[in-house]
Amino acid sequence: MPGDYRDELSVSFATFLRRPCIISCVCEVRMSLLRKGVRVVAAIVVVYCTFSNFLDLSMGFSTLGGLPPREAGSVETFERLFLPIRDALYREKYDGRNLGYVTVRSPVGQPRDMRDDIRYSELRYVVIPFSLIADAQGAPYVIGDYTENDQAPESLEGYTKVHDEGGKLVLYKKVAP
Amino acid sequence: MSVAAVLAFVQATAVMMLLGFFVIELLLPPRTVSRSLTWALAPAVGAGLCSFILFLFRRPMFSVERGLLVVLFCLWVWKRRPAMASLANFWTYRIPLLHALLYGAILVTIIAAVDRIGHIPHGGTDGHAIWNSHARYLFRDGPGWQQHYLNTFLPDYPLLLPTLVARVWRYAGDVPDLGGLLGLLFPFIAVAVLGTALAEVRGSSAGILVAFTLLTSTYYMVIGTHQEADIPLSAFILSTVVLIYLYFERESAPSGLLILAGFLAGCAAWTKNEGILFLVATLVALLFPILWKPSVTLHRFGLFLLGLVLPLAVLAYFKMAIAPGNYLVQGRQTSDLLAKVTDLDRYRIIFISFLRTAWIFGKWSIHPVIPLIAFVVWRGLNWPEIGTMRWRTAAGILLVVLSGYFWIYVITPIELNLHLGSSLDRLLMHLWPSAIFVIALVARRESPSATLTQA
Repeated sequence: MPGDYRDELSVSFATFLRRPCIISCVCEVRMSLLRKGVRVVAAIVVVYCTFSNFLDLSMGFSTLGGLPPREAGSVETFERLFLPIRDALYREKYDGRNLGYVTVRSPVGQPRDMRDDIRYSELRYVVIPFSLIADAQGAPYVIGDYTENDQAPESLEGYTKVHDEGGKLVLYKKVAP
Repeated sequence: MSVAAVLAFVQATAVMMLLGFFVIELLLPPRTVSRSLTWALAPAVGAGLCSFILFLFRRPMFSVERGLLVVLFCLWVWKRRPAMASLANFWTYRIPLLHALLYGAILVTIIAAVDRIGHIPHGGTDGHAIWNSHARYLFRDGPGWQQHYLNTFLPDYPLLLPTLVARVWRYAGDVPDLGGLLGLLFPFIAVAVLGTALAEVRGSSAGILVAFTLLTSTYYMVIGTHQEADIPLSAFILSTVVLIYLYFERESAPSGLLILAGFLAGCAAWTKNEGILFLVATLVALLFPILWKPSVTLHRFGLFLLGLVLPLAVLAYFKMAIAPGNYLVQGRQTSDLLAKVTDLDRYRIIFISFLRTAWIFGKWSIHPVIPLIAFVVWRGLNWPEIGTMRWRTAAGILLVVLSGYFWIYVITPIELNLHLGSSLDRLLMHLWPSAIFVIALVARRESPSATLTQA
């Protein structure tokens, strides 16, 4: 019979007996919620970090290492300056490989500085398949590098000027003794 | 850059990829790895093959490439009997949301990178002073290149990248930007291999998320445009580590996976001297179980060596017949080495520099290890994975290489702080994609019902 006090008693007694189970159920639900919460936070961290780094990436492409206009790049400048000198070497029918390299400091016996070294490495790449040899003694042809606002000397001892590219790169030929 | 040059570049890349694809397909039994992973690995394998072809044959390069392509294609058709049904599936393929996001991000990155290449067509300082100088001698010089090329920086460095650049110039002409486009290929190879490999072993959302992690590693992607060999090396290291992991993971242990791993480890050694250290580390890791499983270990080692034969032979010839000695070992006195090895202060400086650089080497605002850890937390930690042979081998290789780098700094003849400052960030880049792979493996595999990409 519904509403019978004996039924109610038995229900509450049964509930009483199941108490530890309820506690563990509550704990499990809480743990599950906690786990879900941690996972949601972790997912947000993943998305936020990835998005933030992606924004960095797009900026990184334009700023890291600096971005001069293509024409202003030093290697590209050397490429432009060397083209007429290469043609001059072909006109001279030079079939050797080695080209000497001098800067404004070479004739007066000063050592090359760090900027000279950088320019030397760039020009060495540009002149390939010729081999640029720094301060080569007696090379049949020598390239004078005066690109760093240096004043090209009037002459180079033992050499004659073959081609002058705007006072920036100069090709010299060894004078026959 | 003319349209004709770009089309010729696309042709050169397509030939490279197809060569790699056919080799992988012929070496692996069907369904050993997913089709996506096969395509992701194809350019790396093809790059190695094309480099060896140019180095060994030079002038008849085109004939050898095309001949090999025809032979491999015929073998592939005969062995695999490909069905056209897969082509029909291609048209009905619907791109899941996360995939679409990744493809969009890749597209944006490519556009930004191509713009950057337009500004620095000859690459960074090392790009033109070392790698492109070597490439120019290979491309512009005659048979005497081996002599003249010695007048460059670090002529003892192996020639994978210069041969590939010279190859592209032979296809498309002497356009410097093409070296940049080729350099750009390698970070994306690494992203593709990482994403598809993780998708295979941990589910597709894991693959997408780690691919994003590498893609958003700013410095990694940016130096891809500098035409230097660090990123190609990292792609070869990752591909090798992935193949070795998959070999140990597959119950059938397909031999082809280890043969391919041997070939790609050889390509890593043919890319940079640091790759030789990686090769040694891989050999050590593969030989380590010989103490308790001698016959199985020797069998694995034999398979790996089989893939290694061609790269190792080419590298040995180059090192013995062409390259001069390396600055790290040439003309060193035992007393000098001993003084450096016993100087404890050097260890302290190097250790601190490793810790500091490990935090900032990617020039990112948030270190990607944070989202990676969050990802593992999100997925749940898979502790038993750390105890497996496959994970320990992959992680062990990276640890041996890392400790090798540490020792190189201990004995370096260059002023220590200068050497650390100018190279450590790039050395860590070599291991970065593989480190992401190894960390992400600790996460649980996604349950099919929770597949984000199905959403």
